[in-house]
Amino acid sequence: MPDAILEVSDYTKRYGDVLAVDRLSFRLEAGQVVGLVGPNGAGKTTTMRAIAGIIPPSSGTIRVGGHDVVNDPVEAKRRLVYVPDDPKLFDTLSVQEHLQFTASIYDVRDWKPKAEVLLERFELTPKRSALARELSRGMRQKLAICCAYLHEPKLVMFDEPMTGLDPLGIRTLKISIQECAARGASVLISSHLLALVEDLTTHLLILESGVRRFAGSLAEARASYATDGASLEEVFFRATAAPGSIANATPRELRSADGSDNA
Amino acid sequence: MSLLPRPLILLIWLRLRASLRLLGRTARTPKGLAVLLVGGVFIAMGFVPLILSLFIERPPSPEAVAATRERSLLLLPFGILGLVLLSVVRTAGDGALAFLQAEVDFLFPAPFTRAQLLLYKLAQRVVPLLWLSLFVSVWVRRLGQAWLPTWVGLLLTLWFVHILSLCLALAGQKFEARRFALWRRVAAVVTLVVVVAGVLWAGRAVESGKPLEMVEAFARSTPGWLFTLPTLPFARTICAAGLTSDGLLPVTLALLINVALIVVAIRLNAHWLEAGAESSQRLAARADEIRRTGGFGGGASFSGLRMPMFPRFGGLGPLAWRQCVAGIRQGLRGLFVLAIMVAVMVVPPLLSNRTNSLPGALRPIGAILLCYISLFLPQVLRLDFRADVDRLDLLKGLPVSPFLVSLAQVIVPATLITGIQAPLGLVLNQTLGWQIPGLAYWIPAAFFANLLIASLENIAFLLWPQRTTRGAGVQFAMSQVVGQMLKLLALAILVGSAVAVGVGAFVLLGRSVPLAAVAVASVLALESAVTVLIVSRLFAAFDPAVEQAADA
Repeated sequence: MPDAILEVSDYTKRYGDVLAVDRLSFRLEAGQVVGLVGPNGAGKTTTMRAIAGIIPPSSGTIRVGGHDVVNDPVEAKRRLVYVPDDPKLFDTLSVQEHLQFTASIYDVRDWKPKAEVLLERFELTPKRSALARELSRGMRQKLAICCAYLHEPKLVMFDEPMTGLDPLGIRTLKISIQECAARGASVLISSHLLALVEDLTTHLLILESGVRRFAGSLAEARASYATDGASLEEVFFRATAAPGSIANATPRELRSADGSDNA
Repeated sequence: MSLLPRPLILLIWLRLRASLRLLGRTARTPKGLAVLLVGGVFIAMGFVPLILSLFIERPPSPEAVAATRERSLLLLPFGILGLVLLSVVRTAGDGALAFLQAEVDFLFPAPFTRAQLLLYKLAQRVVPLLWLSLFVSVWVRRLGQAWLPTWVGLLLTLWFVHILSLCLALAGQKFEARRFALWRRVAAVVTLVVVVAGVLWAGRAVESGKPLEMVEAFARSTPGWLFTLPTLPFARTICAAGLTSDGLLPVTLALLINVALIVVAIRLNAHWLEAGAESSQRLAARADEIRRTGGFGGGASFSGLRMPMFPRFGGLGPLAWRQCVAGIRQGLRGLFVLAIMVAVMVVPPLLSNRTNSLPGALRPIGAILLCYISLFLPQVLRLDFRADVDRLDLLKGLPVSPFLVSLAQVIVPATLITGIQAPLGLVLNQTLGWQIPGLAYWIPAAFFANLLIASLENIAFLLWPQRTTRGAGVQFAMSQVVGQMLKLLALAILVGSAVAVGVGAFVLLGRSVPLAAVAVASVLALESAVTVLIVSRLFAAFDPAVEQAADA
């Protein structure tokens, strides 16, 4: 078995009596793009924040590049980057200063040419001197993504990365994620946009109420929950919906239920 | 591994430089330059006389200096102890661990140890403490013998209190937070009780019975000395004649205490990142709430109360209805604040009143209270554009004229405040024996005065739509000062002119109170109409994209 970049074993997160994530285990290998999907409150963000070393697990272990995020957090964090949903920036720092600071954190030598390429790619070059607070929601997202790519991490985690991005930004991000995987990094994307996850990912991790429903390749997911060629949406609903729920209905069943078949 | 890594030092420097740059950017626009100049003048007005007095005033005699120093040395440790107790009680859980949201997103997942992040937080805190201690040192310069040791002493004291809060928050994370918070409060209360008991015990011998002299007596006793021992180096630094002479030892000791506390904080090695992230989120939400509600949000509300929809009136009705519902649901909060205002104003005269009759003692207080309601309640019951700062796009997109939108925004708070003020005034008129004839005639004037105040509040807001959550330090404070001063100045001129017309009418129209009231109300109505018109013009010209981005 190839070395895992991320290895999560029996990760559990408890808030008092509430079990947010229950004994979750999965691994990410180099080049894999994994879609982390699940309904609201499934524990997706909690899991990502735990991997990023922000919240400690109640039990279980999380290792990034072989380093435990609890016991050896600095080495683990050197290898990862986490772009949260609606990333917050330093309002009074400029775009360039955010990149300068990020380069300093991850000890990126000769960061300026890399930063220029990223800025150009995400159409932020004209905004180089603008303060973060002068940027639109989408531009702030793009800047956070540029900062994330600056040090070429081994593990990239995106929480709802497309929010606020324009079509060109979405396309650029998709290409950049594929390039990231191609150079040997692992990417974990949490999103409710299932079509996008389907486009990008090689593997799938479905969570529901903190419990793992599925972990494996897309082909395995289809084999387990639907038929070949079924959409990820269908797989998702079948994996997470209760028996008899509308989510399990086929399109034909839905049409006959609302009478549109007769029409 | 370095204690404070280079990237974190770089961040402190970048942010410091950014705040200076922001000042420069503000000064580039006429509005910003005006704010900086007027704000600078106000700050200078506070500082310059004090600084000049250092040179102009005849220096006190050596005996007077020695006496002040001796008194300060006895009392200051108790002041510092008070600060410590306050911080022990107020460090509710993890508040001291709060970071900026951007710091959470950038620094928490970055390769820094928890100790490095703590040191960053402590180092970053030094800059505002430098300013605060400088400001306070100018005001309390007479406590010590020389200004520099006073400044350094105050800086070390404030830093000590901050580090202590941090240590307590970390200890709360290390041990069971809820139980620890309880024990901490119990310890603070016990300490307070012991100090009060000690002061009363030692104060038996003080003939004058003055509280400060009783505290001094306790400070001279051995138990008092022991109690304040940890704070003595800070007090001695503040009162020292020089940092290299009698200040050297206390400065060194104060520094050592702070360093020891930092070591304790690091050694606790608590897993505080999660608590820090949550606390930061809460702090941001709280700041947002303060911005919208003036700091009195979040309390209990009459959420079950319903109100029928008003007639449309070109859109005015539904908008006013929305504000009214919000006002009524915030009513409990307004009444609570009103009750505090009444208590603060009424209790001290009641306690000190030994000879006069009760209505006599409260008579002037009642009049002040009525004026205060007009000025203070609009800050609490924010039912206007200030509360709608995030919904200005929505309001601008409505098929309602800007004038009607603006009128709906200001008429509701004015009506609600008059609704509280008028019955209260009528009751006070009877119970306190003001015996003002025809007080009811003044209700329309009070309404238009409240409308005027609400309009001026909104003019100031639409001119400087600052957001406290992301406000940029100095110029935010300056614009607030300038806004308030201009508001009060405009109010004084407008109400003053109405009163002048009222006095004229009273004299010329046969000393008729109703006619004078009508004259005042008419002038105020005219002024209100003009100010509402200005509000509507400013609202129509307001560009949320530009204003909120530039002033955020």
